[in-house]
Parts: sequence; C-alpha cells; structure tokens
Amino acid sequence: MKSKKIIILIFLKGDESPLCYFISIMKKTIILSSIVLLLLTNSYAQNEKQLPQLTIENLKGEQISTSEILNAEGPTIISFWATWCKPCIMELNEMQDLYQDWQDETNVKVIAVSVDDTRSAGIVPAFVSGKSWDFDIYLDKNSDFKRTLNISNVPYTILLDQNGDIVWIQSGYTPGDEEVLYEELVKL
Amino acid sequence: MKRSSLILLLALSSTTYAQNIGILSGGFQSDTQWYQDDETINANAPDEKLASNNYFKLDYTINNFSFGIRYEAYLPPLLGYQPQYEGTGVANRYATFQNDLLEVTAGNFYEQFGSGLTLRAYEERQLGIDNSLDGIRIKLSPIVGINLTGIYGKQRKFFENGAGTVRGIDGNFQINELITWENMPSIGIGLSVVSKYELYTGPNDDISEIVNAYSARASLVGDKMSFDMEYVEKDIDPSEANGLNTLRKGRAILVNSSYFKKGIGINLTLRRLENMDFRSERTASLTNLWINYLPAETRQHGYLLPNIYPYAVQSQGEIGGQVSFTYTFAKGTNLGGKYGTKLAINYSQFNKLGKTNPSSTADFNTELFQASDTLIYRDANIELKKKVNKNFTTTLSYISIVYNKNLIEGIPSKSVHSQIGVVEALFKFSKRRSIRAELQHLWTEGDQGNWAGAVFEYNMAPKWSFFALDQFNYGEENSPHYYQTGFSFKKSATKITMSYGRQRGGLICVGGVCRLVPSATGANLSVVTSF
Repeated sequence: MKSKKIIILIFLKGDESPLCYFISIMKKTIILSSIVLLLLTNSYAQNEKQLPQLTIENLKGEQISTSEILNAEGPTIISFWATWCKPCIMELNEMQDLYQDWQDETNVKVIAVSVDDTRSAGIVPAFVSGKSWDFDIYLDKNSDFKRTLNISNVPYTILLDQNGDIVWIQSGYTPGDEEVLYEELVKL
Repeated sequence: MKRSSLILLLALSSTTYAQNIGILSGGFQSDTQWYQDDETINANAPDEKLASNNYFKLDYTINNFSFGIRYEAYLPPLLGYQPQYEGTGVANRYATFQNDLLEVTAGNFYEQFGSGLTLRAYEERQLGIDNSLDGIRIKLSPIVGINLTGIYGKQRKFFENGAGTVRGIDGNFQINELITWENMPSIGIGLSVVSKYELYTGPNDDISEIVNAYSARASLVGDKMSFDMEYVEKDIDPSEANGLNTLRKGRAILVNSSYFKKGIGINLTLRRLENMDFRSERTASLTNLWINYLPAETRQHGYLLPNIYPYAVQSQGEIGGQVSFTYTFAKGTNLGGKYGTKLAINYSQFNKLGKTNPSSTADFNTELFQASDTLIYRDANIELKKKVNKNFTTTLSYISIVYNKNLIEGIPSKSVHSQIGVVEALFKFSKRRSIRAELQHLWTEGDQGNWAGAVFEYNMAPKWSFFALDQFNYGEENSPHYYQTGFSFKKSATKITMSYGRQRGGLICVGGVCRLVPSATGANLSVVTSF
C-alpha cells in the first residue's frame, strides 16, 4: 500500500516577555527540528502499520506481549471497549451473534481489549461471561495500549490481516457497522 | 500578552521499500465551543465567546527506541476546565528504550501500581486531568513472572510541574509463572512503596516533608472464580485537601471477587477508604496533583438522567461495596428466544465510617470494619436487553438512587431519593439504516423534582449519525428544557461531531472522579483523529 502522508504542525505561542518568548521558541524549534531531522534522515515513514510492541494483561493477571495475542492462522479484529460504554457493548453483542459464521468463513479471531480502569476492571471477567462472549479478553487498566495507538474514545475497532498489518480502522460504532467490517474481512 | 505564531509545514512522502525505517504515528483532538447567554438555565457566556481545547501528539518508534511529544493549546479552556490551563505549550515529551530485560523512560510517563490506591499517573481529557510524572522510569523483567518498576519524578500541573517529588517502587510476582504445578490457579503477589517529598519551612511540627504509602496485594484466579485484595497504609499528611488538621494515618482496603462461567457472572467488590487523599503538593486542590487513584465503586450509567446524581468518592472516609450479576438466558429457551436475553443487576452502597476514635495516640481515626448509619450513596438497578428479531432490539432499565447531596456536593440539603425508568429501542430498517430511541423518566420529591428525557438517533452506517435529545426538568419552577441536536461523521480513525444546545450544569464524572461544570448554551465542534 503506497500513499502520501502530509503532517502539519501548527504552533501558536504567547508569552509575557520577548526574551521568554524567544527562548521558548528556541526550545520548541530544537525539539521539532530533532524530530524532523530524524524523519528526514530516514526519508520515509512506514505505511503498513503493525501493532506496537507492548505488554498487556490477560484475565489471569499475566503480562503478555502484543505480538503473541494475534491470530497466526487468519485475520484478527481488535475491539477496544469498556463495561460502561453502551455503543461498545452493542457492537460486541452484534459481533457475538455473527462470530461463529465469521470464523467458519474467514478463520478470524476477535480480541476485546477492555480499557476499564480499576473502577470496573474487576467486573470484566464476570461481565464477559455473563454476556456469553467468546472473544479473547485483555485488560488495559491504565490505557497504555490505547494511548500508544492514539485512541481518544472507545469503541475503536481495528482489523489486521494474517501478517499483522493494520488494514482497516473504525472509530466509534453505528448499528450496521458490522456489515462494513464483514465486507473488509472477506476481502482479505 | 503578546501573541505570535510559528507555522511549520512538513510534508513527507512515504513508500515502503526500506525495512526498519521506524513508525511515525500520532493523534489530534480538538474540542471547540461557542457560548451564548441563556437566562432560562442561568448560563452566562464568558467575555471570550469562543473556547477551544486542542491536543496534538506525535510518536516515533524505531528499533528499540520510541520518542514522542504532545502539544496542547487552550485558547482559552472550555468552561468547567481550570482557567490556569489557558495558554499553549509542549505538555508531554518522552524518550523510551526497551528490550526484553528492561525498559527505560525519560520525560513524561504514565504509570499505575496495583489497583492505583498508592500511585496512578493518568490522563483523562474530559476532566482536565493529566498528572503524568516528569522524570525517570525503569521497568525490569529479569524472568517471566517477575516485573519490577521504579519511578522518580514530578507531576504535571497545568503547563508546569508541581512542587513535590514522587518516588516509588513496585514489584509484581506471578507465582504460577515461577513455579508450575498441574492445575495450579494463577497466583499473583504485589508490593509497592510510594514516597512524596516536598520542602516545608513553616512552623507546623505535624507536617512532614516525606510522606510514604505502602501497599500489599494478592490475587488468585481459577477457571470459574477469582479473588484479589489490596491493603494500603499512608503516613500522616496534613494538607489543604484534608483540612490541614488530619493528624492520623490513612488506610484503604479493596477486596474483589468473582464467579463466572459461560452465561453467568457475579462480582462482589468491597472497599474502605480512610484519609486517602494523596497529592504531590500540600496546597493542591480540585483535581490537581493526585498521586493515587480512588474511583467510585458504583455502576457508571450510560443514560442521561441517572447521571444527574452520580457518586463522587469520599476519599476521607467511606465504606461499602457493590454486587453485579450478569446473566444470559440461553438461545432457544422460553426467555432467551432466538438470540438470548441479557439480564444485568447491580447494587452498590457507601456509608460514612464508624465512630471516631477519641484516643490521641491511636494511629487511625476509626475502627477497621465499622460503618456508621449515615448513607452517602445507594444505587440499585436492573437492566433487561432482548433482541426480538434481526431488526429490533429493546432494553428496559430501572434504577433507584439515594444521593446524600449534603455530603457529596457540600450543599446543606436532604438526601435525594430518585427512581429512574428507561425504555430503549433499536430498529434497523435496512442493513445500514437504523433508528435508536430512548425514553427516560426520573421521579423525585426532593431537589429539583421530576425530569423527563428522550434521545432520538438516526444512523446511516458507516459514516453518519444524527441525533436530538432533551432533558426536561418539569419539576422545577421555570421548567427548563436541556435540548441538544447535532450529527457525527466518522471515517476510519477520524470522527467529527457538531452539536448545538444546552449543557446541564452539575457534576461530570468519569470513573467516579468528578468535576463541576456550569450550565452552558452554544455550539460545539469536536474533531478526533489518529494516524
């Protein structure tokens, strides 16, 4: 997949004295130029994004590397959700109804990463069983995984192909989105 | 104040020939509101009618290294956010090195020890909370099953750092990964110490420059059940937040146990807090410079009206807990129907702590397991969700809340007893078109009286959604309507929402941490994307 990427940084700055202002601009210029330099020396940014390397907690409290959670025999869907998020639960309920058919057809694995913090993370195992969901469940209690992927709000759903490349992203959920996801899934 | 601007345009064309050229990623969020005066709901527009919160983040990862910065601009901050946020600047920058054995971060980082009762640095933009630590963090995993973390730094306070320094170590030992027996359940043990240092030159002998908090925790997870608990003690720490005259130690206990098998889940959480407000500056208040995290152990409701009476944690003293029961009536049974019917029941209650200990030499104010009769909050709720057929899903909810307004908001008044009923329906009239509607009613004799609410949503998957909602406080004398209408557009990782209407003033709570927002009327534009 080739595409052009344009990044625009806009910096607006106000400060009391011209000297302060000058110093702060200098500071920022140094930070920015080092990043720009870093990028320019490499010339290119990789476009086929994979998951970042992180450890994530499973329901047993064990730390698992994100590279180990993906499906080796087919595509993977990762859905970021929370017990208090109504659209997330709507989306996962729909996926549960379709999961068996999807698995038979495409061998897909669904991973549901809960971003519940300690307020509700303890409820997650009982909640998931009570809903009869068959997904692989992981906990992201302090939003480290969510932050690394720059996710602002849940639900947030990612489709990865068998090589682990991110091929499709959906931010938010509207009823019927699972049809779109299915179309993307069968393309793989 | 002088303003100037620097605009930097950087265009990178990207191809994918070379391996290991690193990954550049980032995110942008902008929330902008235009305010109007609105006498009906006592909303006063500020002098500057336009307010805007903006966040731009860039991360670059190559081999074992990652770097990132986050720029923030509050021009000025939205109403309800602390005015000290006004301005612009780099609010977060970091560099990390990582391999199988260790991870070292310099700069700003987020961290949580155990359940966060001793330490949690996190970001919650909706509340204007970012207590990230600026310093050094080292994580070590010498063997599978052992994770050690050490941190040293100062916490973010608006665009500066707070006065205190926070140091901490945490060890997590997953016993079942260290020793293997057959059919062994997962057993974990954790220990942490968090220490705060802040210079003090005043005359008060009770104030110590160093305040420590100690925590021990254990967890046990089997195939059908789990159990975990954490115990925390904190040194004497008189501060602005606890009234400067709290000369006793703090302590907290959290117990969490679950039973689960397919189709059924039960969870019981118990928690007791005493004198647990812990901040890295003695004079800090509101949501500033928290070192630890004390969420409300109550259900966070997704509907509008129950959120009129949310629980706010009483970090100085509360005892209580919650029970949740989730159940699916299996497919093909009478109640389950073709798709299975989902039931959720939840009950939570928190009381004030028991009698104060009169002895001046006692470490703690109250006995460990004593509750007083004073109820702070109670919430009993039940939800039944049924997918009737492929195109029609309905949800019924009933919620009963007792809200001690006097203790939670500090406003002298009686406790508010309220009952809330919600009917929700989702009707799909084609594969991608649907209508979702909610009808809600809140009954109460106290406070502002009855409310009625309705939400109407028209969805065109995958891109468009249009909505209109109203919360009508007809129990109040001037019977204000809090209406709002708008739409959202989403494509891939981008979501844009525009709306116009009234925002109800009151507590906005995320995870039981709350901030007070004033009533406001106006137009809102929100843009979120990641790349």
